Amino acid sequence: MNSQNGAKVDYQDFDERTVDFIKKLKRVFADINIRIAAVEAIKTMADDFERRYGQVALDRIDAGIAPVLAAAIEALDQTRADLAALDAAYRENGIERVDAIINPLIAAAQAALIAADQKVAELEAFLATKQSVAEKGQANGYAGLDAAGKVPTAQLPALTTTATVGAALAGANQEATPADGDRLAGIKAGGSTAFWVTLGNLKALLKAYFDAYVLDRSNHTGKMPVSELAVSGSARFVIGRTATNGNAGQVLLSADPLANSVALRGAGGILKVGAPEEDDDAATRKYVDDNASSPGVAKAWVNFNGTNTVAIRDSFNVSSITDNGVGDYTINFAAPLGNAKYACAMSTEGSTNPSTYGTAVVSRTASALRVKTGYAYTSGNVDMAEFSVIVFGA
Amino acid sequence: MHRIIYPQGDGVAVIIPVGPLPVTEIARKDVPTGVPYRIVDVSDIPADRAERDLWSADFGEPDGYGVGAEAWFAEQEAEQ
Repeated sequence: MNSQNGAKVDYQDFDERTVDFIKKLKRVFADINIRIAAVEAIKTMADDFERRYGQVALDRIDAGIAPVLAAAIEALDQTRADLAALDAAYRENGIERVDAIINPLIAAAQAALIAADQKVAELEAFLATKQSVAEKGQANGYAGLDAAGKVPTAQLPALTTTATVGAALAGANQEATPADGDRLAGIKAGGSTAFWVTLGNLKALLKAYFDAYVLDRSNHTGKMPVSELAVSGSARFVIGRTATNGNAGQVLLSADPLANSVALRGAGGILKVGAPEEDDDAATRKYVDDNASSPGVAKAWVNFNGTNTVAIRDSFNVSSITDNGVGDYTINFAAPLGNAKYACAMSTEGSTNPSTYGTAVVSRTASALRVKTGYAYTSGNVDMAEFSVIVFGA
Repeated sequence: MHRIIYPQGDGVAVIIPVGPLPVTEIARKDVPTGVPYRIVDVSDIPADRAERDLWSADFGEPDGYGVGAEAWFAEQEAEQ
């Protein structure tokens, strides 16, 4: 047998009591070694449990293994006390030689116990940082993984609610002047399918929509072409303000004016103003009407060729002229005058001598004026190459 | 271009229309009341007016009858 410090021990050097003591001491240390081995085994088992079962291993150590370990430590403490008592008894009998053998053994045992305690403390500290598998998928626990290595949707919060989407949009960056390539999101009709459209495409759609309903701007250079104005029945019109009774004021380009409207070309090709529905508009209409019917304005005129194929060169408020015969014509008014008391002026071209030809009114009504041209000093009529008639009246 | 002709005394009156009114409306308006008229092409009217007082035409199958200006204006007033 060899001692802890390497010295060879021979039982023959000791008396019977000492040998007996040493044998007891060997049993004590054998017991200590067994218990230390047990502690090591416990640690190894705990490490294995921790690796395999996590918090479950820690829980089991706390519940089952820790008491056993505490009992082992308690037994070692008792052994240490027994050794101390035994040492004291032998010291009283003058036996001190065993100190060299016992003390190193005791010191080794104590170091083993301290190391075991430290290992257990390290294990407990390590396990304290781990979470039990029993908490998987539980409140305040942790999420597990499915067969595809992903977190099951049952363990995920709802991601797309009106609140979450609304919050996301509210938190988005504002763009005051988005580019044509920027995208705007929406939901398709009749379902919940999301889609996006670029601002450029949306602008093109709106342009086509408004062009179809307002006007074709393909040739638009800043002024609204008359040909593209809205058409209502046979009348082209521009809608103006809305009167208090709900009727829209209009500027009509043909037909007679409606109430609160102005026709630029009423029946007969004249300006007409509709009856105003606002009292303070009456003066304006009267101003227009008064000037349109002013006695200082010609109510009708015509310039025509009376020779060969009789033809009208130009006219105003004339629907036709009637060729009654040589030098005999009737001027038919498109709109009748207020009465037949109008004045007329006539002139002819066909001779450089003003005394050669003359003109005369044959008859007149509010609707027509019959005139003649002839030689000044005879009764014969004559066709003139140019005959002009101007009418003033009410 | 058209012309409207109607009998007048022993001869023919020729109406030269102008303006936006349809020629049929001008005929009804400017041909005297109850007088038959025909609407003809301008080329049917002689350009030589030397015998203007001797012109004649057949009004056996007229295109219509005049209502006269007064009646025509009354119609227009009534339609408004």
